[in-house]
Amino acid sequence: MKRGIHETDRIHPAGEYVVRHSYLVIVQHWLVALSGIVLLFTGFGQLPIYKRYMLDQVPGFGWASDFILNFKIHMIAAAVFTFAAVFHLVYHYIEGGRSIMPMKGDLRESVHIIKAILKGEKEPPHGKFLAEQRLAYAFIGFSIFLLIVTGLFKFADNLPSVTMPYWVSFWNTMVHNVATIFFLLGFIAHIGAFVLKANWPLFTSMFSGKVKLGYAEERHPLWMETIRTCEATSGKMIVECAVRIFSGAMVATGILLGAIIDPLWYLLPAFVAINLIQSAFTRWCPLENLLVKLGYPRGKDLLLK
Amino acid sequence: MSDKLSRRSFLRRVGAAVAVGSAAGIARAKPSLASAMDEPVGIVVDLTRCDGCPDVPVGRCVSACQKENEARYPEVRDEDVRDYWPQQKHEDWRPKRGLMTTLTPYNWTYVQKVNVEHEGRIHVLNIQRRCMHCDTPTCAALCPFGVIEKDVKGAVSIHEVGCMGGAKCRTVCPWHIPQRQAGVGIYLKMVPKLAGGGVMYKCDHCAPRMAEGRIPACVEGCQARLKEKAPLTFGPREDMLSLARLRAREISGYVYGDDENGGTGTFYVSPVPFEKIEAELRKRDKERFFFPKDPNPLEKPNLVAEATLVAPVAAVAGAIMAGARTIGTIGNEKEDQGPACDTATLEERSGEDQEVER
Repeated sequence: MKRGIHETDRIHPAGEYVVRHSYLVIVQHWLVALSGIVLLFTGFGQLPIYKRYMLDQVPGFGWASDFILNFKIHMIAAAVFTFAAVFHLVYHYIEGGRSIMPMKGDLRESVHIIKAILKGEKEPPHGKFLAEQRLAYAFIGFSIFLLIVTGLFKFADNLPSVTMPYWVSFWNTMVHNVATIFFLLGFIAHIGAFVLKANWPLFTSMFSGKVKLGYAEERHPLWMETIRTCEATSGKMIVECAVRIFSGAMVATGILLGAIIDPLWYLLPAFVAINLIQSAFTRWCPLENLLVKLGYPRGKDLLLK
Repeated sequence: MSDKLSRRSFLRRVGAAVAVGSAAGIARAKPSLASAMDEPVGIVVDLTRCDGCPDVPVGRCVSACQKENEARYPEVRDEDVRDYWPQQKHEDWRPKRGLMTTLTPYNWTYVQKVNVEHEGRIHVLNIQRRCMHCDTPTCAALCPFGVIEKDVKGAVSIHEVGCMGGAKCRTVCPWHIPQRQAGVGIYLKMVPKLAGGGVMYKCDHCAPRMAEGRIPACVEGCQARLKEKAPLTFGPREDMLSLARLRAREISGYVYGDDENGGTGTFYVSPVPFEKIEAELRKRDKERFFFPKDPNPLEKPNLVAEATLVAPVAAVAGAIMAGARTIGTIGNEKEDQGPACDTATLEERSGEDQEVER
């Protein structure tokens, strides 16, 4: 269960703490969490329930039954949520940490762990994350994926320039609603885990980024072992791949915005195309130079080993 | 302002025609691409011509609509009608089933009568009211169950099967057109005490008739009496829009429905400004249907939506930069912070280039 630890994981030089999350990760987490809560509230506000159940009578919640206002807040929160989720995926793909990806046998191990905690027995040795955390990550991640994809479809469908066939709109809405239920369940389970005292250090680490060395040695020995043996993070990004991801993303955006907002946006993919072709001949790629300066290794450098 | 908007929407359409959509299997309602059969349609309502059919109890548009759609009116059992708990009310229109002077689940169009003073003259107006069939219907965009359809012909219809009767469509509709009947619909099969309120009903442009290539019943009823002098004219949306504007110019009148809520499929032509009609209607205590001038409430959120489409890309760009920083700085920090994992491996694997960069 030692696999792909995160670039930033390390024992603090003072020796009392282990760095569990970088500040970047903490910010990511709270962006997803806070915008997610706002999305849940305003999403349910798209049903006429706050008026019927008189939540809008509660001081400070008068706005809750205003559909249009709810919708505006939902949109803004969705932008933050989408940003944070995509950032999370790409950042960790680049950085190489894979320790939260679910593994074979996680389901059985989760049951085992929960039994042990409830009975007060010793838990099996954990990696950086517990088996049920890895499962929860996959479940919530899948819900978020569905929500973002169907949500972006809904956004596009609402734009005056786009008309989708009725069955696409209908099923898209259906999946969005079902995924909302998934996300809500995952959210409740995630919060519920902190009822258990054993998990409290993980809760505080989401603010401080650190856990006590003693706690880590005791509960996460496999993680500590990985940190000590400096086992390589797998799949570190190289500059060639970063360039492809970046230019691909630019082309996709240009086409999307060109279709939906203004054809002038087609200039963006056109620019990327010209630059890609010219760089093949001149070996001059401004993005590549920038990324190398930032610290990306070149593929050939890794092979030289 | 309106020129600018239409230019913008033109650009959007041009863009829309070209791109991703086709690859993603997204069909676009575009007049030039659609066959003649699938063209969006519209109706002109010429208020200078409508006399409200004084020879009969209700306008012929209303009686024709009733006759056509009667079979689709909700049939409700008494025991299914109950309050929307914890509220102590429900909407049951059965006692007023015969009412044809307003919109109800049992009457999808009516003739609104109003006298308006304009330039020293009193105008007696008879206005056929019903769903406007917006180009970008707020109700369809915001229906939580996605059961309101805007079809290729421009008709906006509520699919009864998935409708929970929350009446949100009525709230967000600038004209508050859809009408609710309790005790009918899919919510009865779920938790009727706690969720749902019935089914919403409104004009659907006679979708079943249009599917057969026939014109809406109200137009037929109107034209049967007044022939070419009929206040209602039906045809392709763009033609109807030109007709309405032409007619308005002839009488130095006004058009309503061309720009409202981002454009609709119903064009009222009036000899008096709609602001005056609105003001007159606002004087009434119990009036339910007006002529608001508000812009489409989704216009601004849609700007945010456009920005949101950019969010994933901004995130990719940001993550690539931040990822570089993480990979790049770990090595540099090691001197101050003791051995960080993986630094050794990275150094080992990096060739001389990497060293030179540092």
